[in-house]
Amino acid sequence: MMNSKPRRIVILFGLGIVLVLLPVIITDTRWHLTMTLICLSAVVALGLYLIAILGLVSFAQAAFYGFGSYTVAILLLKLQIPFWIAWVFGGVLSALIAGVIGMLVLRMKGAYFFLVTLALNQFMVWIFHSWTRVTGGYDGLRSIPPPALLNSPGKVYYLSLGLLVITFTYVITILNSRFGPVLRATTENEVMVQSYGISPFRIRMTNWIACCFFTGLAGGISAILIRSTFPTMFDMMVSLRYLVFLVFGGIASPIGPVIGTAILSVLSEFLTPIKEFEPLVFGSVLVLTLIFLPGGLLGLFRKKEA
Amino acid sequence: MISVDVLATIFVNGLIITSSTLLLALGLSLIFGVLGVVNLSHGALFTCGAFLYFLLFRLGIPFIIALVLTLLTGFLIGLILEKAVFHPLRNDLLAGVIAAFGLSFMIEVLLGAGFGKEIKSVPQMVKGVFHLGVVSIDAQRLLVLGGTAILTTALIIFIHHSRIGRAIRAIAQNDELSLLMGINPSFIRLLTIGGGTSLAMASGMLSSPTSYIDPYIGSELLIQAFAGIILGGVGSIYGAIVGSVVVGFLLATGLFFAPTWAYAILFGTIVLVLVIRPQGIIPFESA
Repeated sequence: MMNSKPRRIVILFGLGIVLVLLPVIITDTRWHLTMTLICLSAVVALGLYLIAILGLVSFAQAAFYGFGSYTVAILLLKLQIPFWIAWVFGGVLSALIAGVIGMLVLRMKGAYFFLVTLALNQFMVWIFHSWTRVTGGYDGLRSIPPPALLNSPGKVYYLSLGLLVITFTYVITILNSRFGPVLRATTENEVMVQSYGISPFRIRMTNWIACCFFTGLAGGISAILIRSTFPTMFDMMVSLRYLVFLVFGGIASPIGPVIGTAILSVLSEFLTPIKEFEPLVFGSVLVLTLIFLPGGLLGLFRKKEA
Repeated sequence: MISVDVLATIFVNGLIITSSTLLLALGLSLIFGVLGVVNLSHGALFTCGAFLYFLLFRLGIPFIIALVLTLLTGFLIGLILEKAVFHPLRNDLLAGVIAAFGLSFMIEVLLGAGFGKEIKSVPQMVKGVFHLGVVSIDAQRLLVLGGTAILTTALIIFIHHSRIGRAIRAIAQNDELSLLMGINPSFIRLLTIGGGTSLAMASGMLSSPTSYIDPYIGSELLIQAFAGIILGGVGSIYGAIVGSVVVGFLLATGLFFAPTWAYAILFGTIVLVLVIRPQGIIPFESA
């Protein structure tokens, strides 16, 4: 991993050009949709990464994604508010909810946080399901009008890629800032961090809010990409998918969740003809990775280097 | 006005939901206490029990033999799960939870593929309907209720008054210390997950005639059982009982007055209880 700085810049630049030109090279709209969804899921997986490095696993990410999605859908359909305002509003609202929930649950230990977020995901899905007047109930909200600038998956791709780059930059910046070592120390030894006068609670809160903010924004984009939103899009199975992406990629570096998401999403695209077996493949990948590759794909590379 | 009839209906429905919730919650709670695994595949194993009974019934195997076979299969599956998945992941609680969740999806897909898409059902094991005023309850549900009551009592006696039960409680409290007391933790772990899985599969078998059978029946129930043990206190048998009763009556009341909101209310309550009392109503140490 000891790349020199100029070399790293060249690689990043090349990767950037490839990513920007991708929709031009691959013209199939089906793949445009997949690529866009990969960017959005990678944002969610990166959000999970932000809290996973603090030893927290959230099962509520699908719900926060859904929250952003429903907010955009409702604001566009019922109040005719411009997309950009609705989008930011969805992200901020997700962050606010995360803040309130965080105040209540972030003092808990790992397992309890996990249990609460699991219950929370179910609670939110049932709200989407039951509050028919606003959320459309079981059928959800359909024919959400996308803004003219974003009326095809190929165009939404650039917005999603932009969000992914911003999220990634945010994570990298945080890790390389003065804050970075503190993050790692919080997982290793909470008492030590406290003894230096730093509040582990505030660290967890910051990352948790950032995690849900980006997740909400990603969900908001999905509303105009898919153009509909309904409760089953955000159930526990979806939350599990994001975790699989993260676990498969590994959490040694923020590139892990992105790679994990990309590989598994492409795999899932090829599995479309046997859609009903997808949970079987994902479940196996998850269990096998946990048992045989505890560090995920990144762990594999680390081992070879050593 | 709320009449006696309404109260009676809610009470009976509450009991029914409580019993099916408790059947799963007991196993979940025991396995968590001893193995430290929140076994989210427990519901899928319940479903396996229902499907196995469907198969055995089709083959014309008598009830008692079917029950024994189900218990044995459950024990065996439990042993395999412990050896293949939970034991390798024993040092990481979250890895165990996530792996179990993955397993449950795998089991559901396999059951769906193996048995086909159409919804199945088996006839009731005991016939008859009982009437209590306006409320009627069929004999099969009474069998499940009775089975739950007997199993729960038996489990409490076993855990508190037998050598193995003592060993199980010792390991749940402190496995290194219990090692010093001459208890073999891996043996107890195997016994617990084997027994717990047997219990889940037998519950699936007993409950199968009360509704249709599809690959997801267990997971739907698991969410309730899970709600029960986190409400009551994870890892404690009394906690599982109290939590299941709360879930049962909350759901019965919710389903009666506001059917679409019942589950939202249930999960809202859980989030609230966890926030106010993260250790649950009855904490683990007093198990």
